[in-house]
Amino acid sequence: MAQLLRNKKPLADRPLKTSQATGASLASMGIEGCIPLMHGSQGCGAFAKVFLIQHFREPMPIQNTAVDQIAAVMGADDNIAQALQLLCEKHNPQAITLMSTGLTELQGCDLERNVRDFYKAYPEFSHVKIITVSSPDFIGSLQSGFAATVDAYVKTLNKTQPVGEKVANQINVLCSSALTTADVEILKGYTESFGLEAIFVPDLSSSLDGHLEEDDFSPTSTGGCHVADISAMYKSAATFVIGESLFKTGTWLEQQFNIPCFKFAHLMGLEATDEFIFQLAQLTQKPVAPFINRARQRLQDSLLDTHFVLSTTNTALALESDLLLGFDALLQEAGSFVKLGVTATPSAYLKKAHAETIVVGDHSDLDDVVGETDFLIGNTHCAEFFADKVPVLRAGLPSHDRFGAAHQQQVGYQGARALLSTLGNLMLDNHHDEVKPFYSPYRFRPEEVIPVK
Amino acid sequence: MKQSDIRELMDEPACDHNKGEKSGCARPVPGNTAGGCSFDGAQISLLPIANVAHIVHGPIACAGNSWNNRGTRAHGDNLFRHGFTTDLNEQDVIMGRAEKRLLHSIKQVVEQYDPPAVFVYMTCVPALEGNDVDAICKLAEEKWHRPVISVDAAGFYGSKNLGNRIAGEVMVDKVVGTAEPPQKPMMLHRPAQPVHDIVLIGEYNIAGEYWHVAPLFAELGYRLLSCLAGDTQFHEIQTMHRADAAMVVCSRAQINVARKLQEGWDIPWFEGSFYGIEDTSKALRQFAGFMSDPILSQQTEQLIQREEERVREALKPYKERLQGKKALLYTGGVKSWSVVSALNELGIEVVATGTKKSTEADKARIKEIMGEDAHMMESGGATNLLKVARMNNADILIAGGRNMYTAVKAKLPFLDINQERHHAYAGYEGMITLAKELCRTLESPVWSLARKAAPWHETPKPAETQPVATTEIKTGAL
Repeated sequence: MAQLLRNKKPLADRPLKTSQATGASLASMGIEGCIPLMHGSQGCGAFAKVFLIQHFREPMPIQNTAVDQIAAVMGADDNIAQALQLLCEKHNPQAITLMSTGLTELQGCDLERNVRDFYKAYPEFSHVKIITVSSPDFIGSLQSGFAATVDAYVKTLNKTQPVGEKVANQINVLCSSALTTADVEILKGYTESFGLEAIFVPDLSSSLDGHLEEDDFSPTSTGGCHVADISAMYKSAATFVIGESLFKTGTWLEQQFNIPCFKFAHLMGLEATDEFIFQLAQLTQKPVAPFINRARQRLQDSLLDTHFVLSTTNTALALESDLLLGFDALLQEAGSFVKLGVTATPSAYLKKAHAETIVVGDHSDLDDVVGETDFLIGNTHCAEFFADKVPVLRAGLPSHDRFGAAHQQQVGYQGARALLSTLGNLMLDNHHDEVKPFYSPYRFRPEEVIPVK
Repeated sequence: MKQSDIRELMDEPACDHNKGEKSGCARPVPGNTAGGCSFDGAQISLLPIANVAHIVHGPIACAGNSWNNRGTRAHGDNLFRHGFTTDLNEQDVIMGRAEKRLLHSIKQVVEQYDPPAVFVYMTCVPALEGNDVDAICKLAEEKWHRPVISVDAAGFYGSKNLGNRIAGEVMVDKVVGTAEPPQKPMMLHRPAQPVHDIVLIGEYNIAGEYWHVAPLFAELGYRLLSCLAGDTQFHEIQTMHRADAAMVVCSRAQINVARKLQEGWDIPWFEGSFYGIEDTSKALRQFAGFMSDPILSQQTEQLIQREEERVREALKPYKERLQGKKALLYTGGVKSWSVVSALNELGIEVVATGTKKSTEADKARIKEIMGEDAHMMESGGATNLLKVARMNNADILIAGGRNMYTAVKAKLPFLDINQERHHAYAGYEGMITLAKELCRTLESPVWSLARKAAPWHETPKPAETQPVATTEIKTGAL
C-alpha cells in the first residue's frame, strides 16, 4: 500500500501534467478516418499538435475552431459550425472529435447542441460521426482526456442500441493512454490466438505505428478502429479494460448491455498477463497458444537473468497513473523498490501500488529522492533534468528525445521481457565499480627501479 | 615446449597433490572436461600486468573469444585490455608466414603504444606448425630494446592449472630479478622504521576487490612490491625477488612461484585468503609474524580489532536476514573452506562444499569448520550439483560463473564466487558486499514468479460456466 500525497505547492515546477485536449486528440488518432477538432483558440491546437508530432514523429491532422477575441466574448458557435462544415466538405472524414478546451468550456459552450444544430443545418453530413468530448485544461491531464474521448465514442455510438443477442467470439478491448502502439499489437496477437474478433478502442497500432503510406498526405487519421466496429460493441460477449481510467466505460457497457467486464489496471508483468490470458482462455474455452506459453517462459527466464542487476535497486517514477501502476507492478516483480511515484492526477487505485509513496505533483518532487535512486522512469522532461544524475528510462509522453519510444513494448509477456532487458542494460551501462581504486603511497614508478645487467 | 619440460612442471614439490593418488595438473579427460586450456591459464595469470603489450600469437579463436572478459581491475595504462593477436589466417599458416607476421605485430605494438615489455603467447596452431617464437622474441628484443618474452603454453600442453604454472615459471625465469626496487622508504606513521616489502601471488584484483585490502597494508607500513597478477605493472614484477615475505592467495596454481622465490632468494611464504573476516585477519597476522617487528604486530592487532568490530556491526542487519539459510558451495581449493567460514559468519549453513580442486590440508580445514561428517563433493556437473542442492534443501548455490545458468535454469538462487564476477568480496569490506549480494538474490521475488505455473495449467478448465461479470479488479492485475 502506497502512501498517497499531494504536492500542495502553488507553483508547478517542471510539470508532468499536460492538457486533456492533447489526450483527446491522441485517442482520436486511433479512430479511422478521424479529425480531432479542438474548440479553442488557435494556440490550443498548435501546442497539442507539436507535442504529438514530436513524440510520434508523425503528422497530426489536428484542427481547431480558431476562437478569436470577438468569438471569445460574443460566443463561438459559428466557429464550430464553420469548422465542421469545412472539414466535412473538404476532407469527408468518417468521424470528427469535437473537443472543448479551457477557454471554451469556461465560456459555457454546449458542444452537443452545436452538433445537433449542425446536423439539422447540414443533413448531407449526417453520415459523419461527430463526437463531442468535454476536455477542459483545468481538469485532469492527458490520460483523462484520452479516456473521456474513448468513453464518448463508445457511449455515443452505442447508447441507442438494443440489449440483445451477443456475438460469441466478439470482444471489446478498451485501451488507455498507457498503451503504446506496440502494446496494442501485442494484445491483438493474444486475442487473435484465441480466435476472437476483438474491437480495440482506440487502436493506435494501425495508425500511429510509424508506417509509410502510399498516399503522401492525409487530412485524417490514417488507420485505427472503424466507427462501425465501435457501433457494434454492444453485441460483444465481453469487455476487457486495460487501464483504470477506462473502467467506467467498461462498467457502462456492462450495465447497459449486460456485457461481462474484465478490468485490468494494467497489463505489465507476469501476474497481470497471466490473469489476462487466463480470462481469455476461460472465456473461449480454448487452449493457450504455444507462442504465448513460450513468451511466458521467456519472461520467467528474463526475470531471473536480470535480477542480478535489478533486484534491490531503488527507483522513482514520474508517469500518469495507469502507466505508473503498470511499471510499479513490473518493478515489484523484478525486485526493484519504487521509492517514489510522481503522477499527474489522483486516482483511488494508486493506493494499491507497491511504491512507498505516490505524490500527485510534478517533476520537482523527484529532486529530493533522485540521489537515492539507481534509475528513473519518466518522459523527456524527466530525462532532461535528471539524466545527468541517474539513468532515465523513457516512458510516457512526450518522449521525443528517443527514437521508438512511442513503439516501446511494455505489456504482456513480450513487453515485460523487453523492458527488463532495457532496464538491465541501463544498469549495466551505468555500472560503477564498487571499490574505489587505491594507490599506495609506497608504490614506485618504472623510472625508480634499477635495472640489473 | 618439450614433453620433458611439461613433465617437470607437472611435478610440483610444494603441491599436496603431488603426493596423493591424483595429480593437480592431471591430463584432461576427453569427453569430460570443464575449464580452460594451458593457454587460457597462462593468459589469465599474466594479463593483469597492465602496461605490458600481450600479443596472442595464433588464429582468432584464442584471443577473439576471450579478450577483455575478466573482471580484473588495474590503475593507469590498461594496455592488457586491447586483446592484441596476430590473427593468423589460412595464408599465414599454409605459406609459413606466421613468424613474420608475429615480428611485424611486435613492431606495430612497440611503435604505436611503446610498452615497457611485450609478452607473446604461443597457441596450438603455431606450436604445431613449429614456429620458433623464442627466436622471434629474441630478434625483436634486440631490434626494439625492451623485453619481449615468449610464454610457451599452447592449449594442447594440458590444463588451465598447468598454464598458470607455466606463466609463473616464465615470470620467475625471465622477469623476476631483472630490476632492483628503490630503497625502502620510511613508514609514514613511523618515520624511523623502513617499510616491509611484501608480494602477493595469485591475487587478481577481481572487481577491484584487492583495493579493499590494499589500504590496510599501506596503513600498517607494508610496501607491496608486486601482485602476480592484479593491478600491477611490469617493473613491479621485476622486483619481486626483494620481498620480505610472500602470500599465495586463494589458489594453488602458482605455488611454484612461491617455492622458487624461497629457493632462489630465501623469501618465506604462506598460503592464505582474504575471504571472510577471520581469514583476512589471519593473513594480516601471518605477514606480521614474518617481520619480527613488535610494533607492527601490535598495530596489526589494533587494526584487526577495529575492522572486525566495524564490519560485524555493519553485518548485523544482513545477518538477521540471512540467518538459517542453507547454501551449497561449489568452488575450488582454498575457497572451499575460506568461503565456508565467511558464510558461517553471516549465519548461513553450508550444506555441502565442493572439493574437486582441494588438497588434503584443505579437506582437513573443511572438517574443522563443518564438522567430521561434512558433505564434500568430489565432482561437480550440473545434475549432481542440483541433486545435492535439492537433497539438502539448499536456498542458494554459490559457485563459479559457468554454473550460474545451471542454477538459474533450475530456479535456484545463485551467487558467483569466481573470476568472472562483478562484485568485490575480499577483505573486511568485501564481507558487507557479499552479504548484500546474498540478500539481493535470496530475497528477490523473481524466484517465486519463475516457479509459478500458468493459471491455465494449474486448474482443470471448468467448461460449464461462463465467466461472471466482475466489477472487482483482478488480483493479478494489481
